[in-house]
Amino acid sequence: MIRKETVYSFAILLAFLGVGNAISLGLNLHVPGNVIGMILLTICLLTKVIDIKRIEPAADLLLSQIGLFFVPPGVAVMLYFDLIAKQWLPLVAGIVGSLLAVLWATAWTAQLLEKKEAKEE
Amino acid sequence: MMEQWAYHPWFGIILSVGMWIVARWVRRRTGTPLLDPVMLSVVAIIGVLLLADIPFEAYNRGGKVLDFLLGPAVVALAVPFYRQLDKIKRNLVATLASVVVGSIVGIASAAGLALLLGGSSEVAISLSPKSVTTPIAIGISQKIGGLPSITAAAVIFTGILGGMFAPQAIRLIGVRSRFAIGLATGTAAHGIGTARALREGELEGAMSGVGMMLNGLVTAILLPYVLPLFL
Repeated sequence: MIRKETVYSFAILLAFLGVGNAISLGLNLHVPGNVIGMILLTICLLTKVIDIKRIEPAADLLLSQIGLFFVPPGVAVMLYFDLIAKQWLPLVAGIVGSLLAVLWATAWTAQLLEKKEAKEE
Repeated sequence: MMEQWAYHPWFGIILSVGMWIVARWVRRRTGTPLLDPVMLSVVAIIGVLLLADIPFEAYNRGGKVLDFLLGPAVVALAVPFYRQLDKIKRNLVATLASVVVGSIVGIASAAGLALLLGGSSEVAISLSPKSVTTPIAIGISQKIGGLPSITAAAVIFTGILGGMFAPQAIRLIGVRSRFAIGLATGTAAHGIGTARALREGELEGAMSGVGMMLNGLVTAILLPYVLPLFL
């Protein structure tokens, strides 16, 4: 069922995660180890230290199911029902209003600047 | 007390994976964005736990195993990032500028709206990092005097809403660029938004991963300077 290449590529991803976590802890950074691991892996792909074919099997499998890994932290919301009930209006309005504001501000800026760069070429 | 079997890690794993498979099937059958598989699974599992009177700690024995896989999955985002690198390089200025705008708007609007509607300053502080991925958001919240549990809940709600509506909300203001839709979804709604963006297309998924990664960095750096302007 699970091919050797998948196990091998999963091990590479775990190694980058471990190095990322070590850097995050060692330097006491706000940025979590998984993001640092992602940056390091990107650098290794760019510099051809690692061939993308070596990590594709596990990477594509994990990314196709990435939503599943957010289910447990989502279920943890049930621990905060009391807090949410007390201040539901500022919480809900802050979340919904701010989500829309970020989506619109980011997308509008991105489309504006993307078009300008395309025209310059 | 609760039955022993609910405390076995397999309980949380089987419940999560089972609900996830059902939720993805429902999503595919109906095709409506309202039925985001993350949201469906979360609601169904909370329902099961409440009805059966099973505490979260029991479920989370298995939940932690799936949580752990989020680590290598985030590392794996380097793959779509690398595949889309030409597109990102051509739009490097647009990418960086948009994320910085999104980060500042996110901090200001979350804290500002919460205070305006009678929220305590603790709630405002806790909401301010809500657009970035959970581990970064909680780290920031602890550092600046927020309530990490409220931050965690706000991050997840933001992600679930973004996973359900982000692309449609962006198209409402007339933005059609797939680059912009992906980047904004990840900037605003971190990993859960990225899960949705990956379903929209590889370019959207890659840009969403870039937005999530950059916004985590930018918000961690900017928030201590931007937030005091509102308190």
